[in-house]
Amino acid sequence: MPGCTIKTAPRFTLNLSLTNPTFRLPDLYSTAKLFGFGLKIFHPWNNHEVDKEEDDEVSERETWEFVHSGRSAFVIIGFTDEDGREVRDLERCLRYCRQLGERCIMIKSIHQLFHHAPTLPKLHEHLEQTKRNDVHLWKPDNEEKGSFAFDVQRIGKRRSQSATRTIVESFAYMAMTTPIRMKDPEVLYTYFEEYEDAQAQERAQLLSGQLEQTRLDIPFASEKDKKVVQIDYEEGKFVGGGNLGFLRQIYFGRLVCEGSARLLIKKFEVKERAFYGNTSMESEMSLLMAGQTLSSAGKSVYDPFAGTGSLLYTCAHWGSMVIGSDIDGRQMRGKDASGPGVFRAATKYGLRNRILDCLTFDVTRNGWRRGGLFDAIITDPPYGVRAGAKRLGRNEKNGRMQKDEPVLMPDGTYSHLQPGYIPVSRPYEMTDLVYDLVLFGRWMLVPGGRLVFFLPTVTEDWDDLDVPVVQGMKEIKFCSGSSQDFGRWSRRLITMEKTDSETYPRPDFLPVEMEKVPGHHNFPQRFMEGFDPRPRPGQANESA
Amino acid sequence: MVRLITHNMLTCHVKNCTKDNFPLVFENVELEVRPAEANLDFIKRFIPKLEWDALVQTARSIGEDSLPEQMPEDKATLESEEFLQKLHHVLMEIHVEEGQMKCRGCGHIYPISTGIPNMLLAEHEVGR
Repeated sequence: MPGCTIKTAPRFTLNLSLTNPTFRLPDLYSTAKLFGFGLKIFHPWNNHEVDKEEDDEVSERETWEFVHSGRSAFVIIGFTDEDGREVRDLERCLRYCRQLGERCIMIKSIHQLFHHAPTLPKLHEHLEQTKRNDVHLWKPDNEEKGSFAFDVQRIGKRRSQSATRTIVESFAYMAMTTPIRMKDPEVLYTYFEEYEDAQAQERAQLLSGQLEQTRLDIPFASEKDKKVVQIDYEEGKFVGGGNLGFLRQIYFGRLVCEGSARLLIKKFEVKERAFYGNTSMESEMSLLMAGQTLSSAGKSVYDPFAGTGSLLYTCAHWGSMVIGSDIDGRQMRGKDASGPGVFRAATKYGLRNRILDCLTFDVTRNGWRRGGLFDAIITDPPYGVRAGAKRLGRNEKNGRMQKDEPVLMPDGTYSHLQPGYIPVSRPYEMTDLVYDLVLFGRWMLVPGGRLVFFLPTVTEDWDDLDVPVVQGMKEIKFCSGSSQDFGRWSRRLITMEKTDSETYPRPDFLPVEMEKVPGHHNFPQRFMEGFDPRPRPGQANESA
Repeated sequence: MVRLITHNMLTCHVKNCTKDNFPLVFENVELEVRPAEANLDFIKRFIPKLEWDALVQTARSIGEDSLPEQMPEDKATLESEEFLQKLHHVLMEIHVEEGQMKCRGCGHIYPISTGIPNMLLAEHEVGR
């Protein structure tokens, strides 16, 4: 950019969604991997010098934990190239930003960071200094752009007209010569004040084990607390306001792009779909999962428990050719006479052509001719009580043995050739299913291909060992992993990658013996029983 | 909607059926040809996974004979736009909406209804 003298690598502020924070890092890093760039992540509150090289691995890990905890809506990032060097070219960084904004479900907006500081005077001090030194980042805007506007946002605090005016006026030294245009300005300067409430802090301490008890029963904010109060910028604190939070950080910069991928949450809303079932996955999760598959044009993705196809649509949206199978064809077809539901929904999304096919079969008795067919396998195995996973074969525990010969009817025909014949099926134990899925992925994926699935688990019994460890498959995990908590149980998002180019055998789908009983073992039954803790060794069954 | 690309990935999987279980033979089919936007990258990446003889044989059995008997050996022809377009048509645009797929080995019939094949097996056809 002419006239621009950026000596340091550009930094960007991401404004992230506060829901499902444990899905942020997988979302960001998968997108970076897909587009072939590296990410450097910085803590939004630590006052690191912007031009100081910080490749300390420990600090990155701590920052990951922080982003993962969801304590802040913000994170500061920079980009790296294939050799791990920071990208200094602004145009290239802006391209990466736009790619993040188009793909990451967790990103609300992306801003080129001019500076961040704990108080307004500190922010101004730095910005005025850059202006005196003629290295101010808004210089090119003044020389090349036609109009600008200011956007002031306060996160965790009520908006105040007068405060907004005071803040905007305090930037007068920028001395913009281009006109202000509130509607569609060429440059939008964004100013975020982030407040942290005491309860959020307690919640985070509780989660990290620093606090044992909390006062979370205190009402969130009383009407009195909600009233607009004055900020003491010198102190970085509110004057008054009991439980109200204090000013954490101010981020000033210019808008690069809004996170357009978030609009897809609405587009793929289950209730708006032409076809869905009562266990169809909510759109935000379907999108986050699809992101983990690194779906893009030219790739093939398979869902072996496709159900009503929720995961097929989102993968197809990113360009993948998708195939679904399910042991229960009625799930995919639905009841409508106008054709299979999955195809109807896909047609409405304009994605019909990317559904290669849907097949009725049991993945444990699959007809796949060979392995290595797919770039990704994505699935949400059924775990509910009514819709628990099933596999073909007779449940011999009920006393009747599985037949080895076809059954001849009195009229001379075979029973299995009758119209409407439904083969017998038996429950598919969660432990077996998950283990089989990992072996299946290893057989079926191309090198570097991904297996992405939801694992329901009893929170108390969860253990990292619950994800099967086999040669050739590696879990991609950030911090404690991604999960959606529902109290006594949770759904964990597991992403695994095929790490080598070996050809692995077709799995035999026989029951497995695990040394440790995983937290997802016997899940549907435990769901029904309300997750009574398992007896621990030593206290087992004394009353029995 | 069983496309030939999917058909090429499927074998009979009845217990102990290991001979002549691929390709499955289409019978009594109702076809539909639906033009589809071509993704030639996808096609190109899929070629190494194809069983060529089975594809040609199956395509001819349903009246589609635009593909050569032998897969072109030189890369230039194989990856030419003309050839990939041809392959795209055969693999992606021909849909078997109704009919069945029969195993030449054990005779098992996999019915296809409204574009979805039923590949479930009866009790005596699965192992324990």
